[in-house]
Amino acid sequence: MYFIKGNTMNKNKNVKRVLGWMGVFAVLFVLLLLTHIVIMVKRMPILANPTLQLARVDFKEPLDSLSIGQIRNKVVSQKGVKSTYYNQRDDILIYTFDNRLNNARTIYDNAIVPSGYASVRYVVTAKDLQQGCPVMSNDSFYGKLTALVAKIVK
Amino acid sequence: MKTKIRNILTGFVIISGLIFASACNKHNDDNPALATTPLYDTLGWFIQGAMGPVEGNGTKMIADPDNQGAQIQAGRLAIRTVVNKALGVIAGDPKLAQYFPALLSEVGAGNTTGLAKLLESFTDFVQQATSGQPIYNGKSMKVVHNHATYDRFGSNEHPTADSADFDEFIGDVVKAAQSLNVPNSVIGQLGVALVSVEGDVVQDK
Repeated sequence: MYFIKGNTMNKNKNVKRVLGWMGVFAVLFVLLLLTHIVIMVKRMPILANPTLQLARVDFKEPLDSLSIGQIRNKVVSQKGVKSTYYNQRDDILIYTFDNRLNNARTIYDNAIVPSGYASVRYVVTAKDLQQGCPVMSNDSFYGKLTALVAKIVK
Repeated sequence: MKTKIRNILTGFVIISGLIFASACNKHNDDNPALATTPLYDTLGWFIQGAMGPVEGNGTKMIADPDNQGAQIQAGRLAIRTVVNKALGVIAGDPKLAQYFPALLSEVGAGNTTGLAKLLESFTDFVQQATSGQPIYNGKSMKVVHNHATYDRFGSNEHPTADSADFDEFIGDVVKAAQSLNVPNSVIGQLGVALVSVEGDVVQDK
């Protein structure tokens, strides 16, 4: 009886010891990961215009040069808009803006909808974002952690 | 017991250090030798107003107009300016936009955009191709342009890009460079540098 009790106590002690060590290693690992990210972030080059956002509008009818000019002027007069580009072959308007000052929908609602031309604001689907050019996904745990650390240390 | 703990902690620190050093190793090339080429010098010379001798202008450090207080190689600034314009043209090209959804993905106010990240990555790539400076840290062109080796590119139905896609891409870059009044002779040389990777990008033959 005493032998069984002693054996169980030893087992519990061992389990506690293993769990304790696992906790110590987990803490050290997290500290190591954070230090690694901080150093990586510090070394990362500063991006040019990091908050410059692109937006696209597809027109459903061909526009003449005069209308294109008027719409581009109206768009560029919106707060935060930096530039515009119009693809006449496909009737697509692209505009860039500072996302700290404005957003794509507001610019579209204020500058393009009043023009009266049938158009659709292009919105990238979540499925599309799973593909395409290699850019580190911000949705990953590492991406989110890096972004968080970058905000703190930069 | 104390010796045991000390030994284990020491072991952990050593192993961590080794892992850490190897993980950060590829970012240790902060100051690579600044290689240059006549094309890179010409680009740097052009962005500074095309005055005086061309030689040495590619690697010349000048103020970065998009980063207050920062310096940038003149050649890189020229490339970044063309790439920035080209990405706008590509975003408005329905034949290519499918390959670059990150360009038009909307992020919250103040967050870094896909445009900024792609601009950096593309600029690194073109700078390496035109200057010979080893700064591009991304995956190889061959790997990222095949759905079988990189699932973010293409689909099961269209796993690789074809020549028409590549020609469209080159056309968009040329259009962007022309809109910035880059001389045709320089655009031609830039085109040669880009076409040199066609074999890796176009795998749909």
